[in-house]
Amino acid sequence: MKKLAIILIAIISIAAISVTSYSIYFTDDPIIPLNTNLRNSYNYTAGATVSPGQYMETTFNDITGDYRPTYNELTEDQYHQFFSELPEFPKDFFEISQLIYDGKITDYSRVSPSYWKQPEFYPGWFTSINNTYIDNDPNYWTPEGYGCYPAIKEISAPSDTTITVNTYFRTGYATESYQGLIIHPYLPDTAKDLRGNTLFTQPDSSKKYISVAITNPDNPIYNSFKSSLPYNNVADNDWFCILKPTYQLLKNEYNEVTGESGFPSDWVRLLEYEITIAPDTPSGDYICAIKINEPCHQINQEFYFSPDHEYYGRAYYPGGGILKSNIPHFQVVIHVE
Amino acid sequence: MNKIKAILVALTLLSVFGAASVSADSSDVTTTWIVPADTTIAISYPTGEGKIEFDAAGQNFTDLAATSQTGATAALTITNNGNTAVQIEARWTSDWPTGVSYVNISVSDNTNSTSLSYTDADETTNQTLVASLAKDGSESFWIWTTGNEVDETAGVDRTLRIYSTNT
Repeated sequence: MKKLAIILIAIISIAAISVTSYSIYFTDDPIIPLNTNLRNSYNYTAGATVSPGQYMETTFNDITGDYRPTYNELTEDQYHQFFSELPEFPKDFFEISQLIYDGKITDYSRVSPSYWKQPEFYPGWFTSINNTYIDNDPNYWTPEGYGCYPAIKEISAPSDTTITVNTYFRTGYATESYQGLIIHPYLPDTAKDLRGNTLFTQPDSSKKYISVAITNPDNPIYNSFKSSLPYNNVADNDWFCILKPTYQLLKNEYNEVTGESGFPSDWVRLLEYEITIAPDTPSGDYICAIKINEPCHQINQEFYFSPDHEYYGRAYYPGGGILKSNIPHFQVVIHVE
Repeated sequence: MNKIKAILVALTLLSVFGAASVSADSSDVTTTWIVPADTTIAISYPTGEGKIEFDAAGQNFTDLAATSQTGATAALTITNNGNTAVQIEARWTSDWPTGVSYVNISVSDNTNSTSLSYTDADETTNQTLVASLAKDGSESFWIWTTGNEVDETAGVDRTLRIYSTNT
């Protein structure tokens, strides 16, 4: 019994060390705020203006029964149609959102979806709502719109580590289709600032030491038919994703408009980007990234023709083919120490 | 005794799985900088067509407007949903069908005479449509095409690719 107690204490000690070393947690130390020059190594914005959102005092909204802001020109019906599937709007929403914008909160996996699933979380919302939801022309057809927030993260890490880095991947406002997109994690040749200028060149040995993957679960509908496709362009560590529409006109059997719908509960995905740094990786700066590719013809055909899911027919749209950015949709700069 | 064994097993598993993966905010891995740029762009077809479409009545056509395009309704609208201004450029990803000689794109209004032109010699070269589209901005485009002795087909698709650059 005494031996067993000693073994137990030893294991508890080992486990405690392990948990201390590897758990996901925040320290009480001040997190590096944006716009200080404490740790960033590069001029990421290169003079491009990155605008904050609007961060305001919340007041109770009688229509929605939570703390969602009041939009004077939205009708009561529209509040319910646009926002009813989203989580309750928190009272401290703007306080937390601003801390994330300012770079003070960095571990997105700990942020409740009650924050990042709200359109108000994204800095462009308060100026975009007018030309999308309030003054939206119902004749418009908006099939393609997506992006990541934030665009760049800088990480410091030792070798022999596997890290998960998050970004929010979302549908554009008032986008009406189910967008099929291939998220491709890769090691680009160069790191880019927001304007597309080269910040540094990837070390030649990067592929020997750094590997990247998306670890979100695949789309179950795509998974159900992918093995039967004669060809598909989703590589082994790519992630096929459907981004859901953020606006739809609801029509009856006579094709008459009966209403509108807005944000589904999963219009934003928390993208989990896993980066593995091998043992003995030389110290220095490395760049990992994500770009969006268009699904191939064979995948698209399955979505067009399969009437047993909500992505069927015209509602499905192969994204990633028309819109291209001059920089990757998401970049992670890693200092290996 | 069984209870102690169960605790031992649980603790052993914890120590094994605890080392598997870490977030970017653990003791030795730190997020040191974040650039909170949101570069979301959206593409709309105000005509309600699924794409920019040209329906020619014959093999020859001059300044044929995109289908359903009118003075009030553009063929294409680009909206900046992000929080940085962007420059918008565009080009075709492959050559046009033989016989198509021009595509004119007018920015902000439907005046063909003030439009910028792509020709069959440079359709795959980027041209700037908008030098700076504000973070909450939206821009509309009216489009015409000209062709001569173009093969009759049931429809040929070409991709007009839109490139955004933060400014």
